[in-house]
Amino acid sequence: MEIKKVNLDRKPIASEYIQSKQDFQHVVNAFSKTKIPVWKQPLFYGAIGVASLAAVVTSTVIHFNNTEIDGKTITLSSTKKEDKSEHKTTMQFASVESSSKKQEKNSENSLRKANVIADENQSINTVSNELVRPISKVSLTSQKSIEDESFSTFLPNISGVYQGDITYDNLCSSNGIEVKNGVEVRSFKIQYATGISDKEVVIKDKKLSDVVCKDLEKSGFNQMVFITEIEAYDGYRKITLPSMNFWVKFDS
Amino acid sequence: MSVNPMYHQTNQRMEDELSWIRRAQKDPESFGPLYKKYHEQIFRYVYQRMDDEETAFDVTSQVFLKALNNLHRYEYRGVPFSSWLYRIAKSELYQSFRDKKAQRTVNIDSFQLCELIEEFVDDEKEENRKKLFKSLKLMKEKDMQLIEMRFFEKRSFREIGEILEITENNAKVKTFRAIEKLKQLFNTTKLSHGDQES
Repeated sequence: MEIKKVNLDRKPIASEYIQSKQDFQHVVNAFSKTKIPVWKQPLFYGAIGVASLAAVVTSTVIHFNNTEIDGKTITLSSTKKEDKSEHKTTMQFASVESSSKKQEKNSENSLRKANVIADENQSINTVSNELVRPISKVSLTSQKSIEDESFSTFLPNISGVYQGDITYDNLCSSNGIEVKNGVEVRSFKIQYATGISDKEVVIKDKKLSDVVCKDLEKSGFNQMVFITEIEAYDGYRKITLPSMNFWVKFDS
Repeated sequence: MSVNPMYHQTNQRMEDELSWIRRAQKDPESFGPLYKKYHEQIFRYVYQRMDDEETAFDVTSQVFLKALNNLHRYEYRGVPFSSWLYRIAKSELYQSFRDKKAQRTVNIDSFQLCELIEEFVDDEKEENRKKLFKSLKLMKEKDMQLIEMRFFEKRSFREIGEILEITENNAKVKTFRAIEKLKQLFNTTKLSHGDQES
């Protein structure tokens, strides 16, 4: 650096003058302006990066845990809600399906149909379910229809009603409890009110007995009827079907 | 007169100063006592090396702002806090020269000049003064700053060493060599007709 100038005996500056020029607040204000905001600091991006990486790793691990294929237990779902309903259905009909070759055939047919409309963008998920054979990708809509079909296939009903409102005539004059795919109902338990007390009757048939129907007629009021312990035969062995409950109406 | 007679402090004062620094590291407002204590010293150091008073005040403010920004990095090494501030001041000063905001100037008073001339010759006549002026302008910056600190600001070798981050002995040796160089320049410098007239 070149020295430009040499001053001899320059007028000295008094300490008081220098002190009068002190302005600490100006320095502090400038400091607060120059301070780097947290989101601009490298440390912030480091923390965000680590957190993002952890989130990606966690989601990947969870995804892999859910998509492990063991060749037996694959079904399809896209949301947790659907997972739950599917699982519930599976639980109810697991024993039915594992023993029914005929029904397996039907399920396979359904799945083949679903595979035809398979969408490559859908994901695979797994649950313990022997109903469905290992497949790759199936659209959600087809999965829904599989679920519905599987469910209605093994759903007992009286005059096409599984639960809810049913007229007295439909309850007593029909062929009793029916199930698709050749499953025959052998016995069930019915709970109803006679007007004086609650009654529980085990019927060894698929139809309601005359005694029960008369009791219901005598009571003459709309009431809730519970049909439980429905035992049926699927051609190979005895199975238990889901319970039903009806709101019996005399009005219409 | 020394620029900073308070440079060599007692251990108790150094500890007090350290506690201010610790506080200021957490809260910038607590930097106030340090600012008040060292503002004048730093201003004089800056102003000694430039011509413009306002620029010197600006550079001084900049020094304290930089100190506040970097205070979290400050480590106590058993030397006064001012040596750290002087290093920042030196850096800011050279930055202002590079940015052409200020002009490198050597400020010297008659008494100091006489002392310096006595190092070279016995005669303090006007011609020798002019020769010294010319020689100072030809000095290299690193030598000039040693001469400035030792002869014009009357700093101890210990302080010079702490500011320049060299040992006290090294400061002595370097200052001696700087004086030798100035002496050489002084002896080889010949005044032109214009220099003699001015």
